Amino acid sequence: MGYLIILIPLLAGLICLIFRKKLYFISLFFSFCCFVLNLLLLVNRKEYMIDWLKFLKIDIVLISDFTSLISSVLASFFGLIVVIFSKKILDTVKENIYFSFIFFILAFTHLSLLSKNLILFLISWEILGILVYLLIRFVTANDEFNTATKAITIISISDFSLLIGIILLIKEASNMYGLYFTSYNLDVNKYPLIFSLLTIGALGKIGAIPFHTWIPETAEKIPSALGGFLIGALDKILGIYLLVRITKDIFILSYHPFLMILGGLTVLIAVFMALIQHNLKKLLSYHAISQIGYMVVGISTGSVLGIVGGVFHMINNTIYKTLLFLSSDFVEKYTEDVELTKAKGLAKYYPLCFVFTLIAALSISGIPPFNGFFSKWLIYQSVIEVSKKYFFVGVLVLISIMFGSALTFASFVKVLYSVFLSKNEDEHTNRVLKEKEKIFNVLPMGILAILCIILGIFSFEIPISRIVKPMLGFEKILLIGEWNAQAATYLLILGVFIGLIIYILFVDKPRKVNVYLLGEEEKLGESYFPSTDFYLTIKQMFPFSVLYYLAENKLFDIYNWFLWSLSFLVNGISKVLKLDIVDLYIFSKKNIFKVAEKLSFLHNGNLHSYLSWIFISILILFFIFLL
Amino acid sequence: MNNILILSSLILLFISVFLIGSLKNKKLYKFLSLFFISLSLICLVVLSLRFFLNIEKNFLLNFKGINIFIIDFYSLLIILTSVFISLLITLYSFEYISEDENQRYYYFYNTLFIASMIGLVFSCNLILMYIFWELTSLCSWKLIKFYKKDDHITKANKAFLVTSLGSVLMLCGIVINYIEFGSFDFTYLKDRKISDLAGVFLIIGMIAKSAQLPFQSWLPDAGVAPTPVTALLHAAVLVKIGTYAFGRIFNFTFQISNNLQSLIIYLSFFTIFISSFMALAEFDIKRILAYSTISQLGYIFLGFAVNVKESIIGAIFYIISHAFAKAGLFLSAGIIEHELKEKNILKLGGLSKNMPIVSACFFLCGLSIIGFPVFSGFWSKFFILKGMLQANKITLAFLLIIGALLSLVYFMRVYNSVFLGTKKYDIKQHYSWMVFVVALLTFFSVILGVYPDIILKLIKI
Repeated sequence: MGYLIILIPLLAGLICLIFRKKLYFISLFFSFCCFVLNLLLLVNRKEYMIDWLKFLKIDIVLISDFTSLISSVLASFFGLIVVIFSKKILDTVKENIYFSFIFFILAFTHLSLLSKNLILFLISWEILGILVYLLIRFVTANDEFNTATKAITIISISDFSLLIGIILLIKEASNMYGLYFTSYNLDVNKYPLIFSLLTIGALGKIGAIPFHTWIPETAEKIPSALGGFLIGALDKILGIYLLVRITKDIFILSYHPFLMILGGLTVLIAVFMALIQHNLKKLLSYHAISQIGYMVVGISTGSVLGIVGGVFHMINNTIYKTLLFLSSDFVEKYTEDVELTKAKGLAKYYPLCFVFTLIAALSISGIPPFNGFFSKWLIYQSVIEVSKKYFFVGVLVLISIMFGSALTFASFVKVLYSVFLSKNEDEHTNRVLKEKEKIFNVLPMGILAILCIILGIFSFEIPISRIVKPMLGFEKILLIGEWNAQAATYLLILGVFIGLIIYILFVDKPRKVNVYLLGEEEKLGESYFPSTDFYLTIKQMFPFSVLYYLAENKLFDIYNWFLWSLSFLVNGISKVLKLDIVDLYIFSKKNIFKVAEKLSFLHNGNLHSYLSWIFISILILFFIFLL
Repeated sequence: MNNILILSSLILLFISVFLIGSLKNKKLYKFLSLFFISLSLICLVVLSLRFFLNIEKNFLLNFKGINIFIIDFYSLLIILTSVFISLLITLYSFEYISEDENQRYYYFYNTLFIASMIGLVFSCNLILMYIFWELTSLCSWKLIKFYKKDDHITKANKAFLVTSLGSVLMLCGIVINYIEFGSFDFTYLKDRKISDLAGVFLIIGMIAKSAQLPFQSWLPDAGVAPTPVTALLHAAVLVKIGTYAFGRIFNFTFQISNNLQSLIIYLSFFTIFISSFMALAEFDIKRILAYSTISQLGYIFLGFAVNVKESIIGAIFYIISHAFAKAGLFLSAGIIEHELKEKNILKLGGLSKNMPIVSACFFLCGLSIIGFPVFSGFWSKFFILKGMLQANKITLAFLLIIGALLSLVYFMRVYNSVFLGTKKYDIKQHYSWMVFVVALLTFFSVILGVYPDIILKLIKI
């Protein structure tokens, strides 16, 4: 049965690639099968052997521990959600490519997550890189290949780092533990290089800074639902899975200050970039990057609480981020664009979509009692613990992630205002708004929104106790701060209820009167504040103005640094190699001709000269033999 | 039986050369060439089956007490790959040079080259190897100047002179060896320690043939030859002679000193990096692929030079897998050149729409060269890397990965410029023999990646 979890999505992908009709229902069937099969594997935990790569003299095993199985269930769950949502996809994308790549990516995600063997894990991990490249290539226009190239280059940099990290790990520890993901319990201080290389591999996959730059560009070009599946869900599941394996299994749990600072920076930088975005997809992708920071910070604390918080935040993030991307896809489908420059005012047309997006926005901003709050709360606690020992780093990171949370909320205020709440003044949007919300769109969004609420209210009872704890294998989690989600929820509902009563009973309703114009022309219109001007002040404020300018000109883009340094080296080396002195052939040819030219005076055609040379030669030979 | 099979594989090709040279029927040349190469391949396949199915063990063919040919897994694997790819490339040539007047010339030297290759690979002594070595140089020289243009002749001369310089020095090495040990025979010389001087001379010959630094410049220039020639000689087969000889002489015969080992390791690294950068500086698709070949041959030398079991397996496997993938790449480039008469990547673009199969093949072969899992190049580089780590060369292993990353960059540059972007030509891909051959090479390249055990279990070190 173990093989089926890889074979079924592969088969589904091939079928989708070949068939042209009823693809939605075929995909629905197969994605449901994958999800059910994953659940069965979770219930019936067992290891499966494959002897396909026996030439390496190692056993290839599909793992059976909870970390892998739960991650795999999550991946197939999001596959199912995205497939349900995708009954109608954008005209620019071919349906067979769309669905087949969902399945191919799902197959290799399962393989990566379930591989006990490091080599198999590496292979499937790298294949995912190629699939991402191909997917971007197929769903974007032929002229936009730079996005795909950038993605594969950055992914490859981190993948190659992972490759060498794993090879070094095999060299150092395979005698003791074989080639498996297992408790190596290495000391980071003893093997800093292996730790750094493996971590780069994980950070590259989740798109932490500085490996993030391909994500916004990709998100902008591909359909949002795919973006949600890929950037919102799978990359996070895979990256955090690997990071947990590295920090918990391969190495002894310990505090990693550098990683923590990187996490803090990721939160802050990405959220600042999100603030000034005018494209919904790009904005969401920056938030996706920003949320990675929280997970990285949590895991880097090296405490049980931090890792639990980090993994729980990963689960939460995949839920609300996928929901937000689906919402973006919804907006794109129904209004034909995702530019925030145009006020759309969709709340009155699509109330359910608005409510779901609102829930996701509140969750991502860490507003209680939604799920995002509790995971952030755990992470904050773990950082506070760290700051008791390492005050400076702890406090700085704590401030940056809390500030990041506030800025996230600010950013989503802009989104909600622009897309749902402002008055619709865009003619184009008005013209295309014809369709009503469809069940296949609303249902998956609704499921995710309900999950945001349930995982928030029953955070300790369901996700922490039933999912995260078994996933990480921790016996006991000691909470430092008190938080009773149910009580808080009741109080919040009560608060809202009392507020409403006060509003209805005591607040005077505004009185509307016609403006007396005294025969003049009406000049007063309804005032409208464009959402794009929301955070203009921050953008124009020093030193943000300079930083934003540099960032928008891609001066902080690792890919550009890579290209610049490469171009410098290429120019230098090619100039040197084109010098005659370096080309052995040209150098020899020139010098031989020079010598020949110099010697040509000997060949003057004069018999007396030739006879003289012969005579001198004979004399030389005579002396040589005589002596 | 074995003697008959070996000699038939060689003699059949010489018969073909003779017939091509003497007959005057224009249409017959290509069929004669193909027919005799196929017969020769069948002989080699039968020989290999007997060997690999354990009917026969390593054996030597001797004439009047002198060992002439050696048959072991190494020679068989290399020659099977070489002749099979040569057969496919000959098939490709049917269409590629169908318009040319000079077909007799082409098929004559093409077949002669394959015959000399068989002789060289099976050679059991240094002198015989040297004779076939020079014969391959001669064929290469003749084939590069196939179009007989002035600059082509200059470039062919350059290739001939540079490789000949190497050969002459190699001969010096052979002579020094003879003075030291009194024999040219590999079986006699086995496990003896070669002197550094003789080793350096031999290595110069090999790196000149395989276009390693500082002898690299002839290979990109040799790209003026017709593409099948470039694919056969300068990507898949001829340039592998240097690496094959290195393996035969320094891994399976002599004991190499640490100094020589270090020399070739550093030289290979230097070659991998410099030629990767050069590939990035070029705009001619064939020159880029030529630099890529130089760079990838560096990996093979590296694998042999590290001299650990794993790295040698990686190197041998890479000789085979690189031959398939690089031939696929060159022949894809050949189709583009044939259809559009253009080699400058800046003037090409958007061809994936016009030529979807060629585009896919180019992409897959490229992934193999880069070393992406599960493509064949990955396993080769993986084994080489593993060997390097076993030999405790961690820094160099790290650099090796960066080298692979560079190959990704230059490959993506070519692929993006040629197949993606704005469509600059409005042509339609016709499904010809050329496309079929490219697809077949790609298929084998992918198969070697998905199931490398086919070859790996035959490597018996």
